[in-house]
Amino acid sequence: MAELRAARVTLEDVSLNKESSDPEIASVKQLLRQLDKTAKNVRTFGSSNPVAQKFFSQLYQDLAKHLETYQTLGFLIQRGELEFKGEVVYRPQAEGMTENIAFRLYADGIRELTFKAGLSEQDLSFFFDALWGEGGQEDEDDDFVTRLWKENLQTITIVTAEEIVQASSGVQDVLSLQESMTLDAPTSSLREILDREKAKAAPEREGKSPERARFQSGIVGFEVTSDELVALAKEIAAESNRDGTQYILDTLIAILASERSPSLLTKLFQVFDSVIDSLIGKGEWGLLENVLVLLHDSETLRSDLSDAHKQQLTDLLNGFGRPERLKLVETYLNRTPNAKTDGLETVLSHLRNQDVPSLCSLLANLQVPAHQILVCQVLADLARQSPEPILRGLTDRRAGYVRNLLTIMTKWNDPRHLDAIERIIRYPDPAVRKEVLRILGTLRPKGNGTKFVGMLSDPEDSVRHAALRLLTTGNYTASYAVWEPVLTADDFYDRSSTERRLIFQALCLTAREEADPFWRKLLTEWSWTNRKKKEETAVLAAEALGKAATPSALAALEFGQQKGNAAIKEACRTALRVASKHQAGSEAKNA
Amino acid sequence: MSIHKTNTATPIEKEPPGEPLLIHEKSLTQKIGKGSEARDIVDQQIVMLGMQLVTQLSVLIKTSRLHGQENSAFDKPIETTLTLISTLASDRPVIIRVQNDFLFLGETHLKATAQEMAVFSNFIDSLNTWKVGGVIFESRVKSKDLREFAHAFVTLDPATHTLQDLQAELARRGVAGITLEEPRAFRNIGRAQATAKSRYVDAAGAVGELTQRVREGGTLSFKQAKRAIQNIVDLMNQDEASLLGLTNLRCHDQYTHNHSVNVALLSMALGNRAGYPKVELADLGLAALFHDMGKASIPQEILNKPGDFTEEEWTAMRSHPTEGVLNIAQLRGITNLPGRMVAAAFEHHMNCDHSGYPKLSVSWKISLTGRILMIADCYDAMTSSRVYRREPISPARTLQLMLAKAGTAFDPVLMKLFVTCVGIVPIGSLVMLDSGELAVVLKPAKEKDAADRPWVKVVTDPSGQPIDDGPELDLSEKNTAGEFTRSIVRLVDNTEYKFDTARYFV
Repeated sequence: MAELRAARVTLEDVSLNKESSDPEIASVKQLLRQLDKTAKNVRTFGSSNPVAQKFFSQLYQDLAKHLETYQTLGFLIQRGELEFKGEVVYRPQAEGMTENIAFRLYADGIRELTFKAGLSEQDLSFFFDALWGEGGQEDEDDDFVTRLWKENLQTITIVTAEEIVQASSGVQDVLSLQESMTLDAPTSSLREILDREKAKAAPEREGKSPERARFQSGIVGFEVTSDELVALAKEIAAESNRDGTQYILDTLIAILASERSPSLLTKLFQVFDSVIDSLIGKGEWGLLENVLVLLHDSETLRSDLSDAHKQQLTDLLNGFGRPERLKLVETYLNRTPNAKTDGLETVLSHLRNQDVPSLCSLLANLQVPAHQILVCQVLADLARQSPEPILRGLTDRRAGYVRNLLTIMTKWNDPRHLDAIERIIRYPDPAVRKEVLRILGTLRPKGNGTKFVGMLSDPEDSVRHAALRLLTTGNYTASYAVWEPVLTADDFYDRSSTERRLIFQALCLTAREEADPFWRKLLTEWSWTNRKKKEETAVLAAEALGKAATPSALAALEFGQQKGNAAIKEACRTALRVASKHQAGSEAKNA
Repeated sequence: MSIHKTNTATPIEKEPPGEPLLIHEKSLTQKIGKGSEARDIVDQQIVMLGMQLVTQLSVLIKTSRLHGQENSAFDKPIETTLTLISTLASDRPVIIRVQNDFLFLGETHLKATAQEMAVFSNFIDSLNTWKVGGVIFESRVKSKDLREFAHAFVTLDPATHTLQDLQAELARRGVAGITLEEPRAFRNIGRAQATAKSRYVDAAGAVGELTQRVREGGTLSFKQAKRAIQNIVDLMNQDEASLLGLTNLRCHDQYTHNHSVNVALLSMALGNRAGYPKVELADLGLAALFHDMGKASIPQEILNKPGDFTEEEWTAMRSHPTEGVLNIAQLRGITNLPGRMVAAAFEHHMNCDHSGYPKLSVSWKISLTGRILMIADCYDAMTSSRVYRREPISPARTLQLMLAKAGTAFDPVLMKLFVTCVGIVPIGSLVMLDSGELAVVLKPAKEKDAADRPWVKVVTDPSGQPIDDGPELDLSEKNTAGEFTRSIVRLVDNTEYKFDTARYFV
């Protein structure tokens, strides 16, 4: 059965693609192929895309030419096909129904579609906009029929299936006159009505000319002046351009200020709850801010509010930060990367300390850095007094989120958080590790540098350099025992010369005289293996010792100058000269 | 069109009703069971159930192609189908029709999404193969009937049998409660040919649907209403008078729905004269259509109460503008709501001098929409009767009373425009002509300088003998001597005689 159907479809496709002997049908088929391509391009790339515009322009020219010849082009719409003169002229292959123009029209109940001569390029553009629901202000209640109607097109007409059914079945029965309890006199009473009215009229007409006896409405002066019409036109325009949402809010505020009914006030506060959701859903932060301020001030505005309403109001305000609501904020911001965020920070500042976990969750899920920064700013203020959710968040798997939390903690600059930060020093993401080191340097600018030395085995260059930057400040101490694993590791000689130089400098400044045996050994050691590299390393060490110029460094250099090989001796001499110059310079400065 | 019924004489067996599929179906069943509200529920829930029914029928047909009719594979789809039928057909049969490839539940188009299309296509193809125009299910249909129906549907070969053969086979098998309809003949129409009456019915249906939604607390969609109103805007530009004539219908047992449509028609006519552009006019019409949404929150016992209201009931009635705003704002969300709709709901009883309700303790500028609605609402309310309550006032008397309040309760400029809409002798008025005949005003006068010379329909001869289909006359017409052929000599207060002129607009 399925094979049979497939075979039938294939045969029909062949006939569909076969050029018709009727030139009009052939032209229509060609136009529909173009229409299909144009629709797909417009749908995929948007109507402003140059390729889509090229297709559109070509389609318009050909369609206009066809209409010039044949005056109209009307289709009958089937499920996935268009029919013209009883022949199927459009049936797209191998694609989903959503891209199929015929189905698109069918789904909205369109039975007939007709293009007429005089069709302008703009009309055709409106057609595409209406077909795919584009072209500016979208309304969820609109479909192809209502969208097309708004454009008032004379050159594109449609007939819906419902219209055909209604026109054929008629509605006379539905509108049959129903029995009235108050106006129940039958038509036979008309004779009596006429008699009684004639009787009433007789004395009134007595002595009057027929002309004067005629009905006089007495209604005069109902002509509307042009000034009055102009004023009305202005008012209509103002009403049409009015911000609808603001107007509705004004209405709700008027109700809040005026309503005495307890049940209506209860309902009003329930509506305000949904108002908050609606405004978030549309990113109307400015209006939302106004609403929140208004609700905050409601008790002042309405001092007569009952305790139950006061409680409702409190719940309303407290509920602003509930997770599902902040999820709405998240959805809007992620859906609208370029959203205007004016007022959002103020809105979020209405949240309470209890809302920090939800706000953290929002921060974690936001995709746009600008939005993240904004929420960070709010969290930095809001969570300062109760930072537990932030501290807990440091162990989150999402590196971007953790970095943002660290930014907040940098702002706080609170040494009490040191341990929590130090705990994530081995965080999987290198950027986080680097950021951790930076913050630790800020929060603990001197003291034990053991942890930093530990970071010198980090696989990421930038992390090791960040640790070295701290260790070379001279503000930290670290025992030689801590350094030894770094210095004796197999890959130590594989590190860059810059890094090795910095390591020696840091060793010198943190381990001080504890490192003397190491220096002596390094500057005098003779080796069968890696001789060149070791010599080069010793030279780097000499440079680093000269730069450090501590008493133990100078002693090590003296030693190297005497016991090292020629290259090392020269390096130690140079380093001692540098150190001495440096010392002289410092003394002169002090003097 | 002919309808062939299968064995309608089969006695009804009592079977335990199927469990509702969803909670809302249970509530629907209960509501439909109440009868009077059934007409209101032409809503999306019904359409959704209709789509489920199509899906289940498609499953039944498919299953029949694979299994014998007693196979347990039928159990679940049959159970579901029976539940759907008992829900949808509780007070009248449910009809699934196929028309030009489009599926309808009764007269309502069932819109399929791309995902649903495969199932829909199967079903449409099945019906088309047999040249079936529609399938009618009655609530008495049983499991056995569905099994026999599905089996007969697939075992007979449509290539060698006709629809009549299939119908005969169903009768032979004793299938009850399922009727096959032949395809209906349809006229091809243009949009412009759509009648004023059908638009009126569409709009009333939309109000009914949304009122029900407000009562149930569902989400509000204005799709159906929007199409209806757009059609009315088109029609208003072609034949405003016919539409305004329909405002006389005022179907009494559906006061709120018809009142809403009437107010929409009157508001749009007034807005049209005030200079509303097309799209804004539709916006105004939509707002007017739902101006009384707040009444959905008022108990039916109060709305339909015979006699006068108590103070408490009045308070409830006066709350409907505020209730309306809160209802639509709650169900629709304020960012998806047209401002005019809120203005219409909130301000239509306020009065320009703020003498109406709701009373506000803040300064409030009443919008143009609100001022238009006040006039349209008041006019229709005063000229309407309701089920048990309030005598209507004749259109002419109503207009006089309202004109007296122009500049206080009503906007004076809009009142002047309103007079041109309904006419100095308003549509629906009963008049006595100088020929001695009684006539009913159908349309306002064409010319402003002969404003008291409207179009009328003669309803009696000079002796008072009623005329069934009397002539329609333009009273501004003159004879060859330059004299008016007929003139109004007297306005008759039809309400004094309890005579309803609405019958001439049906």
